[in-house]
Amino acid sequence: MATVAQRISILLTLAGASLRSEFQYRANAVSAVISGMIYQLTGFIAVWIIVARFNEIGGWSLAEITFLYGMRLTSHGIFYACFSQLFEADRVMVTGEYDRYLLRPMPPLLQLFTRKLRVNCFGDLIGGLLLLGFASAGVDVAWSPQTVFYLVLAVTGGALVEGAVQIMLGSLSFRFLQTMSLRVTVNEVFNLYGNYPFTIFPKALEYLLTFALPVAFVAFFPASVVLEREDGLHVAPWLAVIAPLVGVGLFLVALRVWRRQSRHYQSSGH
Amino acid sequence: MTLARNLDALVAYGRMATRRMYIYRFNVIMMIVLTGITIYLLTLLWKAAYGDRTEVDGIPLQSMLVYLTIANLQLRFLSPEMDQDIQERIREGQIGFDLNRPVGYPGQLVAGAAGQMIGLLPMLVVAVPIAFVAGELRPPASVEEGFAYLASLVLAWLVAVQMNLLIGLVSFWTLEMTGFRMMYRLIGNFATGALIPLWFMPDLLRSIVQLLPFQAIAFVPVSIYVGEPATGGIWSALALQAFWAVVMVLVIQLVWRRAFRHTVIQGG
Amino acid sequence: MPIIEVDQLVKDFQRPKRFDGPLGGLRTLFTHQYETTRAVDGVSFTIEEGELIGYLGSNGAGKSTTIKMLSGILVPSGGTVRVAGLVPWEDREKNALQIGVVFGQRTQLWWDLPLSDSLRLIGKLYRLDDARYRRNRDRLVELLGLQSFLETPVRQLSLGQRMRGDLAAAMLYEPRILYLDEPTVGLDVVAKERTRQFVEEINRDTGTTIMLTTHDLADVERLCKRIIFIDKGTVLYDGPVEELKRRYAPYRMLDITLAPDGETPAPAWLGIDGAEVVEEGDARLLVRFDPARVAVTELIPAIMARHPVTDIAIVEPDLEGVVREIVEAGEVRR
Repeated sequence: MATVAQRISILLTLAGASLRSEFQYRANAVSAVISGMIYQLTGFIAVWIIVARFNEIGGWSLAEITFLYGMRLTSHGIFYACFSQLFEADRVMVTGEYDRYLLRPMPPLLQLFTRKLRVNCFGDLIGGLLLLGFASAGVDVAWSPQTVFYLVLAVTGGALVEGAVQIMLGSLSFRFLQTMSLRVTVNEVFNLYGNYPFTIFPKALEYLLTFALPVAFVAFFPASVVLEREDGLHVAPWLAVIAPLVGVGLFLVALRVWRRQSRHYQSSGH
Repeated sequence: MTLARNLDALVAYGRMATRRMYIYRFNVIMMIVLTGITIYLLTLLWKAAYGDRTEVDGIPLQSMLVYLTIANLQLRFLSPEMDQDIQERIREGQIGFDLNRPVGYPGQLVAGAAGQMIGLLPMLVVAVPIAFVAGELRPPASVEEGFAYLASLVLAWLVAVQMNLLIGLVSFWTLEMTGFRMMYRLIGNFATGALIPLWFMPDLLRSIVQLLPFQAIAFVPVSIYVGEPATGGIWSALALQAFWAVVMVLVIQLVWRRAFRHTVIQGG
Repeated sequence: MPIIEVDQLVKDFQRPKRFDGPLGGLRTLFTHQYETTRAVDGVSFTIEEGELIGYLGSNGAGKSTTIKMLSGILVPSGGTVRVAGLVPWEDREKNALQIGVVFGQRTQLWWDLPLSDSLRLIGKLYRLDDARYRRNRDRLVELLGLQSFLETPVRQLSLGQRMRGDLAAAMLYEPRILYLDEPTVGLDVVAKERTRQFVEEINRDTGTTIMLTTHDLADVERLCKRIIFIDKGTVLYDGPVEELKRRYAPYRMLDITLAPDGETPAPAWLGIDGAEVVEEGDARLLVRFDPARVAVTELIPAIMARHPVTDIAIVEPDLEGVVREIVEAGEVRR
C-alpha cells in the first residue's frame, strides 16, 4: 500500500492536472475569479450598510461582524476550493464516471475532489482574507501567535464542517441519485445564516443551527472565542472552543458514511 | 399583417412559456423555499437592527418587515430569464429561425415572459404561506394604496422584462457574458431596494440608485404597498415607473435595430 | 490454481419507484419503494492465469455487470468472487493495482489533457518508478502507434485513437488481468483489426489473463479459445469455441443453384437419409445434412444425378448463427 507521502504526492498531481484543464479556458477562469469575489463582497456590503446605519446588530460591532463574515467566507473559500466537486456528485454517478474512480488505486472521494477546480473559489478566498485583514485591526483582540494559530485551525475546521455536511448529503445520491436541490438549499442556509452573530436568532433557531445543522461551528463559535464574546453563547463555552475539532470529527464521520453508502452504487447501464 | 393575427401568435408564445413553467415546477418550488429562507434571515437581521426601537426615520418596524417580505417575494416572481434563452438560441445557432418568424423577436420574447409570469401565478399558493411564515404579511395600507400597488406592479413587470431583454440583447455581440450578467444581478440586488430600502441607504448610494431604473422593480411598488411612497406621493411614484417603462421601450427599439443589423450582416 | 474464481454470483439492481406530481421528488425520497431487477443470476466459472476468455451474450445479458463486480465497481448481492486471492470490492485498491479495465463506450483518460499527460498521471497513480514507467510507455507507444497524437488533447482524438490510448493506459502498469468491455464497438475495420492484434500480442507475450466481452463475434473467433456464454444473467455455455461449434455443426448446408432448364423438383424429392431440403426458391435449394450420416462425396453426385446443377457451395456454421440459435432457444443444445 501507498505511504501517506506517496498519497499526498499523487493527490497534488491530480489537483495539478485539474488546474491545467481549467486553464485551457483562461479567459473564463479569470472572469470567474473576479465575479466570485464581487458576488461575496456585495453580500457583505449590504450588511455593512445596515450595521453602519444602526451602529451594531445583536450587540456586535461593525468590526466584529466583519471579522465573523471574513472567517466564514475564508472557510467557505477553502471548502469550495477542496470540495466544490461534491456538487457534481449526482452527475458523476449518473454518467458512470464514478466507475473510473473505483478502478484506480486511490480513494474515490479524493478523485472526485480533484476532478476539477472551480477557480471562482479564489474569489471567496481573497474576499474572505481581505475582510479578515481589515477587521483584525479594528477588533479588540490581543493578537498573539496562539490566537493566530487558533484562527488558522478554526478556518480550516469550518471548511471541514461544510465539507462534512455536503459529503453526507452527497452520499444520499448513491441511493436516490438526485439530491442536488437539497444540497443547494443546505449550502444556501450556510451562506446566509453562517455570517451573523447567533444573538439575533430566536433560541430554537440557535439550537437548530448548532445541533441539527452545524452552522454555528463554521464561524460563529470560533469567532466568539477569538473575539472573547463567549457571553452571548447559547451553549457551554468549551463547545465553542473545540469547534475545529468538531470539524475534524464530523469530517471523519462523513467519510465513513460515504464509504458505507457507496456499496449501493449502481453504475450506469448494465 | 393585422393586429388580431399578430395577437394570436403572441398568445401562442405565451402559452408555450406557461407550459414550460409547469415542467420546471419543482425547481420553481425550490427557488421559492430559498426565497423564504432569505426573507426569514432578513427579518431577523432588521429586527435586530431596530433593537428596542419601534420606529426609525419615520418607518415603523412592522412596515419594514412587510416591505422586506413583499419585496423579496415579488422579486422572485418578477425575474424573467429571457437573457439566458437568447444566449442559448444564439449559441446553438437557432436564432435565425426566431428572426424569420412573422412576429418580431422582441415581441416573441415579451409574450413568452408574460406566459412565464402567468404560469408562475399558481405558485402563489405555495409562496404566500411560505412568506407568511418566514416574514410578515399585512394587507396594504389602504384600499387606495392596494389598487395603486397593483397598477405599480404591472409597471414594475414592464420595466423588469425590458431590462432583462436589454441584457439579453448584448449576447448578439458577445456570448462571453457570464461575468457581465453577474454584475447586473448584483447591482440589481442592491438597486431594486429588496435588501435595503432606499430610506436606509447612505446618501451617496441613494442618490445614485435614484438615477437608475432598478428602483421601479421593487422599491417603488412595495413602498406604495406599505404606505410609505417615496418623494411626492403615489402619483409621482407611478409616473416615475411609467417614465422608465417608456424609456426602456425606446432604448430597446434602438438597440434591437442595431442587433438585428449586426446579426444579418454576420449571418447569425 | 485459477486466477479468477466466481461462485454463484448474483446482482440485483434496485431503482427507487418514482412518483410524478408537484411533490413527486420528495415522495420518491421518502417512500423507500423499490423496483428490483436481477441482472446476474447465479453465475459461476473459473479462469486460469494466461487464458483469453470471450464473455458473450446479447444486450442486457449481464456481461458488463459481471465485469463491474470482478473489477470492484459494484458490490454483488450474493455469491463470491476471488481475483488473484482478493475480494475486489473489499480490497478495492490492492485489486486495482493488478487489473486493467477498458470500457469501449467510455474513456478513462483525462478529457481536456493531452494523452501523454494522462499516461504520466496513470504512471504516478500506480506508483511506477521512472525507469519502469519510461520502458513501458515507450513500448506501448511503439506497439500501438501513439506517437503522432501523443500531445493532442483526448477530446480531439478519433474513436480509434482514443481506444488505443485507453489500451495503453490500461497496460502501462503491467496488470496481471485485463478486462475489456466491448473494446471494438464503433471502430472501423482497420482499427478493429489493430485492437485485436494488440490483444493477441499482449496475451501471448506477457501472459496477461484477458477477459473480453463483445458483441462482435469476429473478435471471439479470432482471439478466444474458450468462451462463456450468458443470457438473462445465467451461464448457458462454458467451454471451447470449437466444441460449441461442433455441437451445432452436425449440420452443414449445401447451397445449390439449379440449372435453368430442368423442371422444379417435387417436395420430399431428395429422399436421402441424413439430408433434407430446408429452403427452396426459384432455381435455388438449401440442403441441410449431417456429415456423420451422409458424406458430401455421396451427397453431391446423388443430387446431380437427380437434377442438373450449375453451382454448389458448402456453408460452414459460423458463431454468429450459433449464437442466434442459442439466444432464440434460450438454452444450449447438448
